[in-house]
Amino acid sequence: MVAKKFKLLSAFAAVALIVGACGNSGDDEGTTETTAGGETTTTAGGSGGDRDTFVSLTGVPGVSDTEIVAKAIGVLSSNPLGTNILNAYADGVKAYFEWRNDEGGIYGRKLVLDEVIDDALAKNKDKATEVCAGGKTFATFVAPLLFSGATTLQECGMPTFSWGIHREPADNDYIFPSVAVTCQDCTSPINPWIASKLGVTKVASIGYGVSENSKVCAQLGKKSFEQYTPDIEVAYFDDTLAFGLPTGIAPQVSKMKEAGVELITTCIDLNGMKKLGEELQKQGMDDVIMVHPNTYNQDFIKANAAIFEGDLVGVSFVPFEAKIESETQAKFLEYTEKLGLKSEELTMVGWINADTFFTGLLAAGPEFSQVGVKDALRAITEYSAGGLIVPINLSTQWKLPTSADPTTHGYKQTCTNTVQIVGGVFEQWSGEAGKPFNCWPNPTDALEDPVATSFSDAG
Amino acid sequence: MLAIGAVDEFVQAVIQGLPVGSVYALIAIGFTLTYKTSGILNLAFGAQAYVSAATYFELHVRREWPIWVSLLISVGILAPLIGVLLNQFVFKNLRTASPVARLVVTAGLMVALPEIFKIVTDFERESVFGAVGIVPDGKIFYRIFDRYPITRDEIVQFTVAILGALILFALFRFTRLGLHMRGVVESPRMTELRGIDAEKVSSFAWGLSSLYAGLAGVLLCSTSITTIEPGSFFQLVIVAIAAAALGKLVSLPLALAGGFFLGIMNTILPTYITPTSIIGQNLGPSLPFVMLFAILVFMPGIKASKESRDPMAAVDPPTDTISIAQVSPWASRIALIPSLLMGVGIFIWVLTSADQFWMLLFTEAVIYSIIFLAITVFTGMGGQISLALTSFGAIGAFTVFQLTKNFEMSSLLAALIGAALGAAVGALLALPVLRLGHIWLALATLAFAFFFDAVMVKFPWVGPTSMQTAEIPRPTLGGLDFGNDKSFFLLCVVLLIICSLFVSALKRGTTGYMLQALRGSEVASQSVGINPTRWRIVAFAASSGLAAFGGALLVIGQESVNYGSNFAPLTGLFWLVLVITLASRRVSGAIQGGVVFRVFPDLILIRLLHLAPQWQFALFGLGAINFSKHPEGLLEYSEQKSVRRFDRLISRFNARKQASKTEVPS
Amino acid sequence: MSLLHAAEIGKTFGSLRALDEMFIDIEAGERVGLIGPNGAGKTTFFNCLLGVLNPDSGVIVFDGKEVNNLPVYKRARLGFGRTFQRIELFSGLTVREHLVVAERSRNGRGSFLRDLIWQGSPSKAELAACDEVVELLGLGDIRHELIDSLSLGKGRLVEIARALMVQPKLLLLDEPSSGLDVQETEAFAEALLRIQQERKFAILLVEHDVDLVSSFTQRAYLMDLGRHIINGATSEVMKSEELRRAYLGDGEGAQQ
Repeated sequence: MVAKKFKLLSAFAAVALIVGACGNSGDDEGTTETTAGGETTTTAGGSGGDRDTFVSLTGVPGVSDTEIVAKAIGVLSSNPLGTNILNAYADGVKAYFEWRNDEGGIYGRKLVLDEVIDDALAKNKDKATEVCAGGKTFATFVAPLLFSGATTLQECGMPTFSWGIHREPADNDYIFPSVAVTCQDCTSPINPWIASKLGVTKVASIGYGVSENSKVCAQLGKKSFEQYTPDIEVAYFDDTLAFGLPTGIAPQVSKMKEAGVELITTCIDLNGMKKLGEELQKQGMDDVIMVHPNTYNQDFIKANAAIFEGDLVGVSFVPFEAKIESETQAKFLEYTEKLGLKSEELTMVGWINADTFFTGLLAAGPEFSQVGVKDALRAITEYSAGGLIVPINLSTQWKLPTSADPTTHGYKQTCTNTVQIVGGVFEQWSGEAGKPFNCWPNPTDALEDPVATSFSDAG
Repeated sequence: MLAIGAVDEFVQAVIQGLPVGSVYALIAIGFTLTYKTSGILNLAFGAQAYVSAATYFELHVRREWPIWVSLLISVGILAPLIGVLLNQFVFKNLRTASPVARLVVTAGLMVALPEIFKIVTDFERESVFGAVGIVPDGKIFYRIFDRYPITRDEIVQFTVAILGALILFALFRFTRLGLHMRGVVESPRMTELRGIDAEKVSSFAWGLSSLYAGLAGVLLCSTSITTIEPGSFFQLVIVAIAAAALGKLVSLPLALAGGFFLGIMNTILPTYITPTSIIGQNLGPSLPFVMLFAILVFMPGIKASKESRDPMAAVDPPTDTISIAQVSPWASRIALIPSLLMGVGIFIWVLTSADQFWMLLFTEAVIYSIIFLAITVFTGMGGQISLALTSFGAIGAFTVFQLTKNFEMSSLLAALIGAALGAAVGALLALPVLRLGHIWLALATLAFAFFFDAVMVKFPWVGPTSMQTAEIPRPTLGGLDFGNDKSFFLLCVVLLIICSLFVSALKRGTTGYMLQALRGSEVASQSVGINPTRWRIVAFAASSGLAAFGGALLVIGQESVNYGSNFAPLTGLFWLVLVITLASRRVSGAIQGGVVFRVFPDLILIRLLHLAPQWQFALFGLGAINFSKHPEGLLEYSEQKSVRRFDRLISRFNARKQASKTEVPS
Repeated sequence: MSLLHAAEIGKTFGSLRALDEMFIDIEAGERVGLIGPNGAGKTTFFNCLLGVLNPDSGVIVFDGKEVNNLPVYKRARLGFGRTFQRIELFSGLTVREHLVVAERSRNGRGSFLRDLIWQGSPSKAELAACDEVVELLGLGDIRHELIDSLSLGKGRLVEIARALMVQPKLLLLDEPSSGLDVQETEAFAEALLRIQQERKFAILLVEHDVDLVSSFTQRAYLMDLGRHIINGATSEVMKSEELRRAYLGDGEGAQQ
């Protein structure tokens, strides 16, 4: 829409949303349910006769005898982060579809992503309304910064698969984010553990002031240290920084230097991280480690290798650098190479979302409908995209967990997948070989060492 | 020991603030230069900076051309060239235009220029972050007194800012050219009488100030801006305006000082005030706007200081005014018929055949029309510009949110209360700033809008916190549930009709008369006993109330607050320019504005013409630029044409009737 | 008790003493002229009386009330009317509408709330009052014309008409003949005299046109360099030595 231009300045909220969701500094929370045989139920891929059965369906939007049609909506123009969001995301979805179509499709039909819609940052609701009203779409894949179309998609009964950084999916059971909606006021043991593992005694927690989410993230970061590692001092705290740090962060860094800070947990975007990194170098604090919530961007890190050396980055899925026993991961690497796609974060998110969709279709059976897919997915108690993400209990985790009740709608475990930047590339840091996640029980009372875990297909 | 520590801390804070200060200072002096040499508040300064910065990025970072070549092209050649072209095709016509017209045109440019650039160069085909400065290895730093680090980029910024200011200062103080440049602003004709080519001087002035804009753009990239997006440039320009205001927009030394002051305050404040205190939380982000507002309200001599008319203006023949009174009243009524028919037709179509999507668009078009009526009142009738409309819209929206959340009030009632609150806040705001007039008033309202955005929105008693769902229920009235989109659409149409009647009544009544008199001549109005303050406050309060009411309806329709999407401060500028370009003096202008704003892009540009979103801005900008030729508004202009056509038809008809009467045989 | 009494009026701009103990007295119904060479301070004094400028010292009493601190529009309501040297008309309004505005302002019938209930349009009584003045000034033919298209002479008449609507007790005219030729000036003076006889308000005329001052005013004040020089019956002041000296300079060798 015409005025998107100007929403830029107030897209602080937008970025903060990103920050907020990945906000507990790169942690993931997930359930493992160990069944009697010690095996976790798998949900990726699928075999069985059901899949090739064809039943002619009428009156199902976006479904013909030959195709199941989906659309993607996301931010392309007016993106304040400057990174590739919509296109990378759509590429991931298309690559997954290609994999499944190469296998023969599903229920005699091919999966098609027939339109990639730019919501120009502020027009998400508009585009969602348009897709709903068009009546020719079965499912929608969404990668926006401002997810204003959430209620619209919910109300029109559209199975929606989204980039898991927003709060909007909460209470909307038709929306399936790549990461379940996280608790907005819960503390987390992740950063305290990282700090204690690295042996630091003084830390800082910072966030943007303009956005509520970034602020809250910074505050929770501080509270987490106070709760889990009271012997580690939060020597500097600032939740009032300006978005993107246009005027630098020099005095704040000076204060951190004065206070002897050794590790900084941040709730800010990648451009802000860069400025922070440069300033740290300038003031001779090269050894200080930054914990990035969301700069899992290979190009960006390579271009700024020197600044980020030794830093830690949280990733919401199994990073490309960690190989696990997973067909879903293997196929991702195969198809992205085949189609000449870059392995970017959003591409993986698209891939995961597409896998969720496919899982739902499989579970719904040959006489599927939008409601049917939704219900089928909501019956699944453990979904982990073939081990790529921490398992989500889709039947419970679509409402918001709170600090008063973190378990009913939350993950069974609090997990993190952390990589470290070494020589301009990411290296797996958390977990062990083949078990990239570090997990704690949810809730955690006292800090203990995490358990290295993998959620991949057994065998 | 303590004393040394304190001094050390202070010096460190100052040195840390210098780079930012240099950036602000450079923009401030460039901005002042433009105003001083053209009399125009060039809002597009940031856009020009963006174009040079983007070009430099394209050439040096993407294509890896050497620094000096990239610099020469992007700053040395492209920037002044754009300035000269703009002068030739746009600004030349603005010299005698009203302040409103000038603002509209520069705002249009501000929007269109970056988009045209993006279209022409396909600039966003790859990612746009990773901007670097103009010095090789700019991040290498040195230590002043072996203690305070400063990078090469920062040293260059500082040097260029100081040098740039000195050069300009010398130009104006010591050269004839500088004198001529100032003379051309005061009175082009008079300078011509002395044998000076006013056109050439003007061109040079624009080329020079554009050079500064380009230079600022490129230098910004070394420290402040890492992602090349137009919005970041404008953000810095707003702060620079505050710095330039210190010098009343004409004093270069003061602009320089103001820029450094704001930059250093940026680092002094966090050094001495804890970030978590109330002051620390709110003063930092809002300092430039508070300063701008304070300067405008308290500095003596600000009021309309540039209102002096060209003493030689009488030499130009008067512009052609359309004599409305001479047209028969039937002609005006007949001319309305096509638009009325279309309106009714659209209304019926929406009610019967529109799907959810078009229903959404048209409902919001109706709601935006209500908001735009605020412009009809304050700008169309009052002749002034308010850039704070979004803040008032937000006040209405937040009132609805708080009242429905905390008191479970009907959202419609809450909307009415929101309107009243908006009007009250408007009246309060008006008191100190209305006397400023024209651009100063516009700037004061802009300062308020940014202040509101930076500070007020965050308070929990104002906006929603992250823990709250920002949802808003649709109202029910008696048995009617407006949760149904169709009935909500009808409700909005009814409300629009009521508001339109309200505004028409004001226009025809005392308020309209008094405001028009005040526009014509404030001294003369006073001489017949009209109190200017009273009527202007009335106009501003009414306008704010309308904006608040519209804002409230908007979020009720969306069932969620969505502050960022709906009420960003610069959106208000966009609304204003759009409505003024169409027709600010009449109610139909507001309605057409609502439709153009909300429906036009999807209907015409995307569906019919299949244009990318960027084109909307390019067209918008071109429309605004055209405004200078038709200051009454494009739609008003075309309506006047059809009114006169009807008038001719009617007079011909009457003439024939007369003729046939006289032919009756006796 | 004079209608207008001003005394000890002083005004300084920076280092320039524009007015120095200037004074004036005007009786009801009188026609008084204020003359002096360029730079004498006539306009400054004029503006002080009207409230456009605030004098540094002195007192201004109008109709028994001290008006020193009243803003311009309040003085207008007390009974000051004025015209402007450079015409100040309301662009976009017709001749009659100018008068309506003034009349509305005077009777205070209009308000925001009244507008909302559609009581804003001019009433019959208001229009009648305006038409009366329109006829009085011979503007009947052009009453529906936009003032933007009027000649200077007609424009001045409109200004007078507008000023009359506030029923002034004292009408201040600021160089009304500037821009008019001899015939226009005569016509103007004649119309004005007629109206003044009928409505009996006082006039203070600031003028350069010596003929107009001589023929029109009863008394005159001469000022120069911000100070009062002499005042008295117009014919006397016109013949005086002080006037010659003020306008033509201290004349040794003053040639023809």
